[in-house]
Amino acid sequence: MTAAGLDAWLVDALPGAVAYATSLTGKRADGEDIVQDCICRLLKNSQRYNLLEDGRKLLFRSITNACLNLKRRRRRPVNLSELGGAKSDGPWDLADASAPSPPLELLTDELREAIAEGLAKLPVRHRAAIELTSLGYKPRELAQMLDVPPDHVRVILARARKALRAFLSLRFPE
Amino acid sequence: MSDSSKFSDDRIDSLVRSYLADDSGAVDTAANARAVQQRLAQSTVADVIGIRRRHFRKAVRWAMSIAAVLLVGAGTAYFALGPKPTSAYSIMTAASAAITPDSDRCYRIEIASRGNRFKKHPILRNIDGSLLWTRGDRFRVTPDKTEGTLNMGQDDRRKFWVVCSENLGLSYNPGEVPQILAVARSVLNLDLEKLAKQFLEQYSFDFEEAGPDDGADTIVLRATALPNRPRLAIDNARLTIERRTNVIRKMELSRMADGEPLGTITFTLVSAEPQPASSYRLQHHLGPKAEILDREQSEERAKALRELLAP
Repeated sequence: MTAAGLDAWLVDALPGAVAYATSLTGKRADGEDIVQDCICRLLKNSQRYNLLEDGRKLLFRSITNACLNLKRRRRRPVNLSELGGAKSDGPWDLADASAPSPPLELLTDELREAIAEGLAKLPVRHRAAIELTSLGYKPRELAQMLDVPPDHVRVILARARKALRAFLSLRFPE
Repeated sequence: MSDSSKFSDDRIDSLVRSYLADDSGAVDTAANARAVQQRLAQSTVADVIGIRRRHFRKAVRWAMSIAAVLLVGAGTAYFALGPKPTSAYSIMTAASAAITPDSDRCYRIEIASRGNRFKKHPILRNIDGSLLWTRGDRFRVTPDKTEGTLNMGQDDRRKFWVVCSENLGLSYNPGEVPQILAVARSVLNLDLEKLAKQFLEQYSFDFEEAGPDDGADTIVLRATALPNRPRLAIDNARLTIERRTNVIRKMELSRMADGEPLGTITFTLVSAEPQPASSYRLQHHLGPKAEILDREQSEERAKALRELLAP
């Protein structure tokens, strides 16, 4: 890839990557720090990859790992039971990940805050699963990125959606 | 089940995606890209060359040919126009390399009086004019002519100590230091090697014009924290570096605490005379029969500190 191509890739990938990392870490500064570090490592080894094809996936995988490690180091366990009713695996209600991404929804401030709060209450792996799915990654790719068996991805995703749904339903009753 | 709900799986995915897209819009892409480039610049030259070599060998050959032509022109300009310009970052790198962690250095401490929260700190408010000796993470403050300055320091085992009198000293293990002393320790622990490394990793550099107090043949740099580094204890710094030796002669550090400016503290190099290693230990500053209060006498130690700091 040319230097101009690298720059274009960087500018394209950065905002989404920072938003994702910020959501996983809970802090913009931590998110930016992790993204910058991951991008540097990726660029240093760019001769091994085709950044145009795989760069974004590799970046998100590396961000996910870094955020999981950060959370592990900080030891901030999240109590899933706070969200209520999220312990059962339930039927695997995994949406068809090959389907086109749903259109963007115009968020009200209240809804945005509620989503941020709901996501923040999820364990970081669950948060990663639901966010990566929303960005269009398939379960097979999620399994690689989260370093879990493919079947377990479905469990994680189902729990994450269920917990977030429970949280949002409480905030926005019928 | 879930899809009949107001928040179906598709809706949840859509909301999360919208939320991330919304937040992406608030990201300062340019600042982050600059930070990435700066981090990359700090990597070894070999790394950078390695990244490009495999993909751009042909381009490199062309570039080298063009560069050779340009070099001839640049060389002419070099000799015609004077010294080769050097980046502020490379000067800071040279200053960092010139630091010898096992050397003793003595700095005079100055605290500006106006708008400085240091002035409210019971220990730091009296520290103006004192001398700070450092060797790596060891340090000791020698009261100069200022009354009320504590004789204190940190030894090679990172024990913080305070001299109450010739016959009494207080010793604290790293985890025991009371907050009032911890703030002073944080401000005075001038581990140059770590500080320079932190500057190189997390700050950007610009040249500043040297003032009359900066001494002859010096370069002045302004180090500014890269964007979104709220946790840094130093917001920005003015560094005066000796051109010939790359030694940092003066540092004006704008300290932060809890995201708020704490004040500016200036360290000016006054001596690099070797000191005995024992001078960084508490015992060196006490009489032969002195008592040292440590964790075993924590109540007496706390009482002695209260008395020492009482107005």
